[in-house]
Amino acid sequence: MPLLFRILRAVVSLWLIVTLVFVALRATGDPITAIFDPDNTSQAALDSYRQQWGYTGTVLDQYIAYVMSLLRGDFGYSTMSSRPALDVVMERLPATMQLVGLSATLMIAIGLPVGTMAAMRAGGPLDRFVMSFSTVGFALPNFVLALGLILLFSVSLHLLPSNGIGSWQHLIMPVLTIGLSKAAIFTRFVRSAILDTLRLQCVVSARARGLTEWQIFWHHIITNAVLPLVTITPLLVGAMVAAGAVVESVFGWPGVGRLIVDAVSQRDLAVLQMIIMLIALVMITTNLIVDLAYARLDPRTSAAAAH
Amino acid sequence: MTFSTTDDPVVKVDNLSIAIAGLIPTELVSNVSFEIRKGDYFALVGESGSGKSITCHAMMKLLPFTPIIKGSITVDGQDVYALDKRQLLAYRRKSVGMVFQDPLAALNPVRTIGSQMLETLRIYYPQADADELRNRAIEALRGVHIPEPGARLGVYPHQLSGGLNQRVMIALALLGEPKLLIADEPTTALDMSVQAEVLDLIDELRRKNDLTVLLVTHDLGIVRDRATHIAVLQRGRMVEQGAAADVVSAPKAAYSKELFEAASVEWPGRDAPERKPAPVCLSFDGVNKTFFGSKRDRQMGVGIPAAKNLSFEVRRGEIVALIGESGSGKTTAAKMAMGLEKPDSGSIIIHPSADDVRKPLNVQMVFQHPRDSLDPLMRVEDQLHEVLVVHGWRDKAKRQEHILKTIADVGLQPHVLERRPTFLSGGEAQRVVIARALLLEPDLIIADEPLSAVDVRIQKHILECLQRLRDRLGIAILLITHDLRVVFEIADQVVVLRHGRVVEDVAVSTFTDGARDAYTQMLIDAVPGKAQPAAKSSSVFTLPESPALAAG
Repeated sequence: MPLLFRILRAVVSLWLIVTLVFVALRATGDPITAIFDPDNTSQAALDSYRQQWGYTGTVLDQYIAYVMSLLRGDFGYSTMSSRPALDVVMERLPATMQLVGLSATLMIAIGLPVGTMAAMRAGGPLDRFVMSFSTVGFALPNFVLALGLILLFSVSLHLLPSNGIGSWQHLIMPVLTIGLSKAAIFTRFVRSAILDTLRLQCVVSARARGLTEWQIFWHHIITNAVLPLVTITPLLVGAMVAAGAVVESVFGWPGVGRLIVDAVSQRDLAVLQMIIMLIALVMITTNLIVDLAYARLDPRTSAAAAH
Repeated sequence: MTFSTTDDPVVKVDNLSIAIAGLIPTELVSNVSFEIRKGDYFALVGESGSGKSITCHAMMKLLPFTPIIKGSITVDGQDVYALDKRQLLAYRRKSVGMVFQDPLAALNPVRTIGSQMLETLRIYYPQADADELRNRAIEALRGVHIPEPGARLGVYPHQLSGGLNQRVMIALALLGEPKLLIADEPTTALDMSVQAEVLDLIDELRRKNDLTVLLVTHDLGIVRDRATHIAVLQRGRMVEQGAAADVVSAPKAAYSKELFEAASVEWPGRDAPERKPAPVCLSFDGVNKTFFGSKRDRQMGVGIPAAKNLSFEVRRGEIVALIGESGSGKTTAAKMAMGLEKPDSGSIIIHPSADDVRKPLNVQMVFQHPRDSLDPLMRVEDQLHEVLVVHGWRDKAKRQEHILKTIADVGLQPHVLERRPTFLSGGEAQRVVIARALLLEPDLIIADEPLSAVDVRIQKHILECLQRLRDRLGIAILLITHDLRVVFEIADQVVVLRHGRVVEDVAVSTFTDGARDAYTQMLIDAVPGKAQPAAKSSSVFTLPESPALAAG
């Protein structure tokens, strides 16, 4: 059964990620001596920490202990806040989801109509504007855009709070920063997807049958152009989480992105590990959904699987 | 807009010139005029780039670029380039229907046949409910002889054969009961036996519905059989037009003469000299190969057989034609001979050369799409040098000399070496690919449909070139084709494949003797331009002497 197979493949990917996290974190040196200054900590204390966090025995022993504890749902303790790593990450998750969700909505709300209009009038003034604007959009680093917005809206105009969370005003600038920069890329993708579709013979033949431009657009152009977009959209949303690391830091937004920065600088391995696995899980699930959606949207792929 | 009387032509193209707008406008069609009257079967003939497709796209106002149009196109009493948006829609709906070359591309791949038909029907019957529309769709499919029309509505284009898809396209084009049907190379993408069926259907609909047909084609075989009027285009200019019988029996323009000559079917003569049996260089012995779509299909044993107990031989200096329709396993056989696919069982032996047993036989392949098998970013010269460098030719001057010689062998001018493949014509690209295969002086060339991408006249050149090389260098050629005319032209031996089986393996000279296998007979019957009445009087067309064919 293809669905079962896909889920199995997702599980294997997840296991690979978990293992990579293990290797990566162990490869960067003894985690215990990285956290505690060995000169000022007694050997007995170090050993007891080793015992507590599963850093004893051979690497294989450690790996088995690590996987077993993951399977039990035990993701370790955060050294920063002495609480379960899972809790630390989970309490930051809603803020990030809010940010990414709104940014993705903004990206699609700008990208779909603007990209489509640019493609329909390729070479026209709007198209030229979109092409140059989007080049600026993805050449501009996020923090520059973020600081520019702060300078404009907070420092000069005193309209928006520059830092923190709580009201809808706090959301505007972080969402604009992430959403606009990704919309620059997405608009280009939409434009080229529509342009490719416009050249399809089936669009010409629909026109020859005397269908209205409205019918041609909704029944023949969109249905075909949506296929490459379904593939690219989740990748861009994934990239938004990554962009969050910078943007959340700039705006003091208490999300997962800022947590990554904190966890790395304080070598809070359990939290870092938790975040990586969480992001991996989200990406794998999204890809699974995209695969399934694609099969529904493009009958040719499902036929290839069925024969 | 003028009122049309019965005497007015359905199509009147007057002094039409079409150019691409730009700094220096490029004129693609120059001063073309023709008229099509009601009930005519008008054939617009020419090679690729002659402007025939552009002319009929211009008639639908469907050109893919912004054109500069001079002259006028009047269809069904309407000046096409004076129509406003609403009138243009009505014109496309009621006056003209259009059918395209590749039916699979002309239908939306992600929507069912039914939804595309209903969408179009809804234009004509805005009041009708779903049931009525559905019935009309079924009726339309039945009208183009699609079996089980009701069941086809829920099917996607890729699930139907090319022939059925083209029937669907025709049904779609005729939903609005237009007066004129424009068919742009409607059978070029189809198998030969299916070609005949589709053309028969157009004939039938023309008679039944009082339809005027404008057929665009490069295939003169089709034209001779069916058209009432023929117009020949060359490089955007009309070189000849007139009643079909006149143009076919006595073409006036030199170009049309050449075209007709190139397209003529030379039925194989039986006075072919008895050939001495040469040593075998390639043999297939009991080869089996089945393709499975998935692992589950493999376990259940439901696969597509590409070779079933396939056995045949190619002898040195012999041209063996492997024919059959798409899906018959021709290309798989070629790939297996090249070692690009592994047979499930049986053996494929490439025999060592006769004079030196230790020397392995040199085999080269020519692929179907010449442009796809050349690197688009590399100059032709560099691509040819590369082949020789890989095989240890160190001396650049020697390489150059050898390349120039080989290029001349295939009839190319040295200046093509400077170009990149994008700037080659289809025929040039094909000859470059053949030259590339010849560089290493092979003993055997496997050519997979080497002519399907090129025009008739160039086909002739390439065939002559292959024949010359065989005669001079003693190269054996395994020629894969679906075109019997090519077989008659140059092959010594014919192997007919069907569903991966050999159904016929005979010398070409005896191929048309009486009915052999029913499938072979069908292929022979499907050769266009065969049963042409004028052909008897014309020296250009050699009719078969065999009684079976003369009767058919």
